[in-house]
Amino acid sequence: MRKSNDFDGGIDFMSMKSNQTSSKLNVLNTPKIFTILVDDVVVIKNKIVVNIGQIVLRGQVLALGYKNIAPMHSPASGLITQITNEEFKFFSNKRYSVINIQSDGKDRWINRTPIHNYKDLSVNKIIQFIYNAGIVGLGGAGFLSSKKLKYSIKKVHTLVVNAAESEPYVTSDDCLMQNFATEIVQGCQIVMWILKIKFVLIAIEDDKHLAYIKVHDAINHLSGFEIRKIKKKYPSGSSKQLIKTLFDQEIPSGKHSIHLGIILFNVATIFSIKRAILNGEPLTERIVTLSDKDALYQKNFLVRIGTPVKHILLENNINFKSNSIILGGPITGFIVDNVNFPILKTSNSVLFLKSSLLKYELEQPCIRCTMCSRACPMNLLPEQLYFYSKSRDHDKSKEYSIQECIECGICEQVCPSNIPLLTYFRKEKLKINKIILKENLSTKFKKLFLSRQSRLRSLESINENIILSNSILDKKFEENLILDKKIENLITNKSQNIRKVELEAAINRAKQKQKLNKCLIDRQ
Amino acid sequence: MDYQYTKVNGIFFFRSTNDIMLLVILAIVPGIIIECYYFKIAILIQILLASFASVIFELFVLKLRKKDIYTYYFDFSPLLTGILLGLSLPAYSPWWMSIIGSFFSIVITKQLYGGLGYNIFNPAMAGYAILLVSFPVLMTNWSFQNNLILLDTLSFKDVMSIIFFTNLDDYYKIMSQFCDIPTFITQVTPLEQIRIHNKNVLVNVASVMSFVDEITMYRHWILINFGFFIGGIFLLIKKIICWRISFSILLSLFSCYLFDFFYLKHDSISPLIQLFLGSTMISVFFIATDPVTTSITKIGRIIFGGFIGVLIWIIRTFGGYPDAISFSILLANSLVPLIDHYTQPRIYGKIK
Ligand code: SF4
Ligand code: SF4
Repeated sequence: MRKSNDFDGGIDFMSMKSNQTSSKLNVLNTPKIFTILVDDVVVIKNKIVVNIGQIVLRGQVLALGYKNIAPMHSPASGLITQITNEEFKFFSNKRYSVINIQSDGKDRWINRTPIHNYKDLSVNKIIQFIYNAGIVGLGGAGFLSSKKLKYSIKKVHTLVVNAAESEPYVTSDDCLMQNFATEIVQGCQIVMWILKIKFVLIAIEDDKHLAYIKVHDAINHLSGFEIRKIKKKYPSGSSKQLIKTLFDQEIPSGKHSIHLGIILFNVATIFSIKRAILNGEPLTERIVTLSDKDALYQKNFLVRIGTPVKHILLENNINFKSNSIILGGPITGFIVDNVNFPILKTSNSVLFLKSSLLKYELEQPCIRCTMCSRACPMNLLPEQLYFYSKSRDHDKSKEYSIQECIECGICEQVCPSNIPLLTYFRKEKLKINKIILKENLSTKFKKLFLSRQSRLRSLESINENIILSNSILDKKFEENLILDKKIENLITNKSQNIRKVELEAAINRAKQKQKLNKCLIDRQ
Repeated sequence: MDYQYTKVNGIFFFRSTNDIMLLVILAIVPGIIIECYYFKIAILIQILLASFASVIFELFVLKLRKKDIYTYYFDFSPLLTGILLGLSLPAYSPWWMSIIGSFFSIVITKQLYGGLGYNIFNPAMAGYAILLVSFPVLMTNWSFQNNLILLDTLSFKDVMSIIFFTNLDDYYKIMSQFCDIPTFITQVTPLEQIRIHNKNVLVNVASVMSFVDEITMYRHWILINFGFFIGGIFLLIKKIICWRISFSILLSLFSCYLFDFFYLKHDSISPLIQLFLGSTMISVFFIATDPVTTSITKIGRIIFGGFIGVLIWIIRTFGGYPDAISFSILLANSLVPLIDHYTQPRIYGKIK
């Protein structure tokens, strides 16, 4: 294993993280009303298992999962007041079911069933437990952890714990490591046992000294664990860049890190796996960083999933009207217009800043300064992609590998002309995906059509053969055909006659009506 | 579907397009000052004329194209184009030349191709090339300006009367007061002078000048180029222009001259001094590096620069035009899409 400790491109943002505040974990008062978003696919399959007016306990399943969607659990005990269906423009106008829960303040749990002897159970069962706990990748992608584990059985030799957290302002993983280092190690051990892995590598950015020390102490006497500091640079937390940094290997395009025998988990995910197995707790809370623009107000909170952003701000006496709120990191996050929007499983930070400080500058023309392509960690050429996606040249943008873009948003940040490159790329990618889907469908339909055509043709040829031959049977067949035609003609004639009669009747009726009307008017 | 665009101030220091253009303009200033010292106020008048005309043309065309003036106009790029054009024109050329040049630069080369960022050719150089082809005599009257002693006798009024004459005949008359027309027409730029000088040298090998002699002889040109060189280094330090282009031009040009000096012996001037003659430095650092018209890939930029260097040498040595910069840059500009296409970088995770 070579140490390259670097990847192509990327830039060093000012980190805006204060080390003093990130060590302390604050607990937030639970809000009155929780808002839970459930992916709408679940609704189609009718997987919401609670009704309005039902009383739920903390950790109770609200919606069963479906294929790529993890089950959702209630974050607190209380009453379900509302189940609606809403569209959010943050996620490409996807529809979500919204479940509102009024908390009763007692926080009663369901019966938790900790599994301390997980080594006695079968691997599949443990993975099922992890699925049932609703655990997804908490780093941002939100991929089902159980699915990842299932895929990588017997395929991987190394577990990489991603604690890079390269976005500015975000310190939630840092806080997690400082407070729960031993639990993270336990989580690693569970994953190690499931996948029979001998080696764990914890990757941490070199500006998180305290977390490094804590985790280092926790793994000191354990074999197979290693912690490595990596250079502070965005996006070192992206899986592709992390693997390049740690192993000097590149994930081939279209493949996953499992292909190289490496499985990647975010620290927070590892932590929640530990909680799910050893404590029997489903995923109902996570650590969220609350920060202002100058990082003077940086705090980490243990926040229940489904807590409205407004509640977090009100609890900290922050005026949400004069501030813009960004959910997620400042680079890949999105502005929240609706302050009732809840914390999701994947949101690791709430950033508020004076509205005037947000750059809404005019988009100027691209001067091909190559700032973007120099910074792109994937070695793409954003200026070309921009040009082609603006002119809707899908073939060209595909040729320049727009599909490889990891949407890190660096290009947008460094562009001197303030071009929202990432927005263009996301749109273009969606369009390309749609086109590919259509192509697939059309080829499918074409195949169906062709097969039908060939069937028909074979039938026709049989008929032709019969007609051309001179056997007695054929004559009968011909007669039949003629008969059929006669009947057809009769039917059409009849229907035409009927229509004529109907029309005449209708005209008569109309005329009579007119007459009546006239009479009435005359009388008046 | 609309994604929100967020750019948070203060996490990354970046320059806006306007800042970049302004810094480039700032970096030209030392060169302009030195050039003013030798060629008097005329150079400033040319720059003012050309930049004023460029700005007006830009405004006019943007109005015609119904573009939002505030978005597109205040990016200083027409000003920069005007300055570069004014600098490359002969200092004592008539006023309408700058106007025509700016018209070609801004209206034809830039705006008709779609405005900033879409032009294939370098606007300033395209304008210059059009003028050079249309008015070869007027465009190459630097020999008059090489006579520095003569220039010292010019008053401000003389300068104005040379530039703002009434018609072409008057212009020749005025010029002939200062120098005789025949030589003025045949002997053109300093580089041409060198060429003629070289012929004499080849006849009489004994009179090869020493390095120091050469420096003193072309002192003013070397100093002017040095001014632009300083500005270029400033831009390189500020990471506004790409070192790949500038250095590959200089390297290829230098090696061509070196090759020439030792093997072909067309030129007897030391290669190092050749780099500081004519408008080499300004084009290497300010014109060829115009991001819009250069290749965007790293290798592509090196190829682009090397190509320009070789072309400059070929046209200077074998071609009819003494200062070959504009044609070389325009030719290289036209090759950019091709270069870009064949020098795409290897994308992460893809085997090339
Ligand atoms: S950074 Fe912006 S202006 Fe520069 S090349 Fe990229 S898209 Fe164009
Ligand atoms: S968003 Fe895409 S194109 Fe832009 S820098 Fe990141 S990977 Fe490159």
